[in-house]
Amino acid sequence: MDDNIADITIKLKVIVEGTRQHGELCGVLEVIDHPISFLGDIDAESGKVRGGGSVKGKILLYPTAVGSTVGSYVIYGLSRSGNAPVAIVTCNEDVVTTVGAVMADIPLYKLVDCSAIKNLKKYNGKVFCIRDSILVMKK
Amino acid sequence: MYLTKEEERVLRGDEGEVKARALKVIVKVGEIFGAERLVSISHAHVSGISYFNIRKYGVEFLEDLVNGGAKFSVLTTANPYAAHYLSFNGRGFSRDVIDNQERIINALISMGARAFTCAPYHIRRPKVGEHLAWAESNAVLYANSVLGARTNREGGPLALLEAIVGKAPYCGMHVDEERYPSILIKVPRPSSLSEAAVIGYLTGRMSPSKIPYVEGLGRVPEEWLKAFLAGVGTSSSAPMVFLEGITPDCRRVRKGNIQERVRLSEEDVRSFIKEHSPPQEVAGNRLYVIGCPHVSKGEIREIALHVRETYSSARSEELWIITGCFSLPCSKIPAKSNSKVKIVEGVCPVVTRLDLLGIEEVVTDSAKALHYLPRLAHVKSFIMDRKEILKRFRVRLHG
Repeated sequence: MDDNIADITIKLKVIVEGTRQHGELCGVLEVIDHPISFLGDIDAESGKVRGGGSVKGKILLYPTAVGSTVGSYVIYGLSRSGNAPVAIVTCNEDVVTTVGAVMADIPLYKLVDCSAIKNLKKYNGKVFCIRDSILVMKK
Repeated sequence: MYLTKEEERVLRGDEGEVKARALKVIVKVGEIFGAERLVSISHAHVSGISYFNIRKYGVEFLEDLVNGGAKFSVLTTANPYAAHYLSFNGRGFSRDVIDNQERIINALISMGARAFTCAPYHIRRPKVGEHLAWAESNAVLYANSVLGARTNREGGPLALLEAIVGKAPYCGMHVDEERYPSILIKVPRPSSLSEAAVIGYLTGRMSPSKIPYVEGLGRVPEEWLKAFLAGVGTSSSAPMVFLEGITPDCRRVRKGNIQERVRLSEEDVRSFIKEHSPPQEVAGNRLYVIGCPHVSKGEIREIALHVRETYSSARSEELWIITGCFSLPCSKIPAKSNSKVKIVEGVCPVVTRLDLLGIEEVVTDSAKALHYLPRLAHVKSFIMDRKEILKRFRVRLHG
């Protein structure tokens, strides 16, 4: 499939535009390939993902947020504690993420083609950038 | 989405940054659900009040809103808080829990919250067709199904922002076309409050996401309806139930058109209750809880008549009868109580870490509490009918 890294360009749709940063957004890719419940799966005070890395400064990708609506507060807490991702990319527009992203001022995007998430998983840890609603690997 | 001139003004920040941000959230959420416009609401009800649920980041979120000058622009009520001021056998909560829970309560009051209860319909009964933004599933189901008012099942933070703006996306339960049942469930007639609660819980299980049309419940007392709907809201994401002979919207629908039909048997209800009944032997520190959802002033008067008689026991058990803080200031002193029986207001034991008080098991008349207690309060849970519980504490009800 997309074995040629340089060729990867993933189309995104803006759901929530950030107001703090303009132009290019770059960060290490953190792909979680299952729905996440912010309450329980992510620690707002450390930015740590349960059984995984951290979301701090990352481009965080997951299919959808599920579970308690307190999850929106966790996203806000990540921002308050300085552990926010630089951007969030999801497959489905969900209320928990949307409320959290607007209040925390974190740019939120939707994958135009949701199946891309499976392919992107293998690029976990590589630096990607989002520019003009396109996700590309940093050259 | 179409926005009025007034809404555009708010979005631009003419009424402050906080209100603009709140409206932006509402518009974004509305876009997700394809709402074409917003609707003015008359009453918002906010959930996510317990410090055990929202923790430090929830406290900060609320205080940041307060510091940003946020005020509720419509009648706003809030869910109950954790039972932070209560003790069991003399054991209470840590300073950290008490202080943070107080910060949450104070932030909500300073934005204009008028009451703390999971039964906001006891403060003011919305009229048929009235638009609301309520979080708290039992209240949402009661508003839509019994009162014919209109609200989606909002999340806690969203309802808070809708309270600030006074608007909600016009979609879902606000719209006639969305208020339709797609499964018909025939249920047995309950013979007690806790049976009604269990029938609700099992009805919800049979319809985890669809709006059901429920046949067979009959004309039951209001507190049984509350128990039934709280049960439905626990096992189903449906925001509404069509109750034959009760729900005003029933007039608009023809049940003959519903394709899917299922039946809940009396046997299913009986075996569920048997399976979740408490053992005769009290194994450890046991708490009895009545009031999920909160008992009304009428119910409390009825019960209070019978708690004058002092109950004392060598057993390590207490009875908490829970009602709303229906007007400020909220009382923190249990009413009509001695050490074993307490009537308390404004709290929810289900969203309280009861294990930290040394409580090991809770017996309740509520199917909702039965479900959530092990998950949120970290205790074992059992079900028993209200009359039986009161009898155990020599508190007798009429009839």
